[in-house]
Amino acid sequence: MGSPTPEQAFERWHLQVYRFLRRMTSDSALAEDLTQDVFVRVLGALDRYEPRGREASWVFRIARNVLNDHRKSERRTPDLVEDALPTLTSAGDPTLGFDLEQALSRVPVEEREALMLREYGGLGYEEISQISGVSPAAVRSRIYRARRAMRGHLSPSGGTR
Amino acid sequence: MRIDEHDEATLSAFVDGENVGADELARALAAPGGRDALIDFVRLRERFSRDDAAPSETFYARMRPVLVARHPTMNRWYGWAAAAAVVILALAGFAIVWRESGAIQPTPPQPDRVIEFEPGTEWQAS
Repeated sequence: MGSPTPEQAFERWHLQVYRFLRRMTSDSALAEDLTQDVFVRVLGALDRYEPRGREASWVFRIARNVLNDHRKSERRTPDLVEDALPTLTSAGDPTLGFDLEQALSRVPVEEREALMLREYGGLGYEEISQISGVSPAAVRSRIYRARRAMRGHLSPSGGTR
Repeated sequence: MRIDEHDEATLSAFVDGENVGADELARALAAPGGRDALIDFVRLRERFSRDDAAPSETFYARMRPVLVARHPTMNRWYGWAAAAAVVILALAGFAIVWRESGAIQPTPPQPDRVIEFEPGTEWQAS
């Protein structure tokens, strides 16, 4: 299988990339801007794309790089998520799905990122470890800790509180 | 006694379809709270899979020109146009050099009749 066409790449991945970035930034408008940046890079690199690994892994690696570049440009502290919480509670973006967002806001960034790459990218632990630069065991641990932190927000009916 | 971290991590990995030993899984499920943990992890998975968030129309409007510019047909067209421009410029340059080198003598054509206007002649009268 060769390189996907620009339309194929966009159709396949833009929603999942957007959701990943939205959950990571807690900001719909910013997630749109970053998603656009991701696809400018993805489409620009399609000619050089070598289908050695999974397409999802390649696209989400670019998404993570775009997110990291944004973090650097904003000079935000990557290990803290507390700065996202006031945005959620005070701005109250109704499109964000507040309950899940609130549950995620208590998950440290590295753990949240691993879980989001798993849930929205559908990536395996090995793929996430290659993107994040940590061992698969560390990925397993991060995802587990993220889930454990979020469990407290689950209601008995199965939704999030 | 509650399920320990290792067993809980085993159940989390199992939900993700990662390799988990059968004995390891059996022990995790048999641990107090193991079954509840597994169900909660599946519920969280469902919650993410129900996420139907989508970008705004503005986003799609912004992306349209990006996709068109990257379309292979457009790229091919741009390639042919660039090649044609290079050929035309090369021919024009060659023609100028050839002309300047004297290969073409800029002699005017010879007249086949001469019309002279004489002062005082009513040239508009038929």
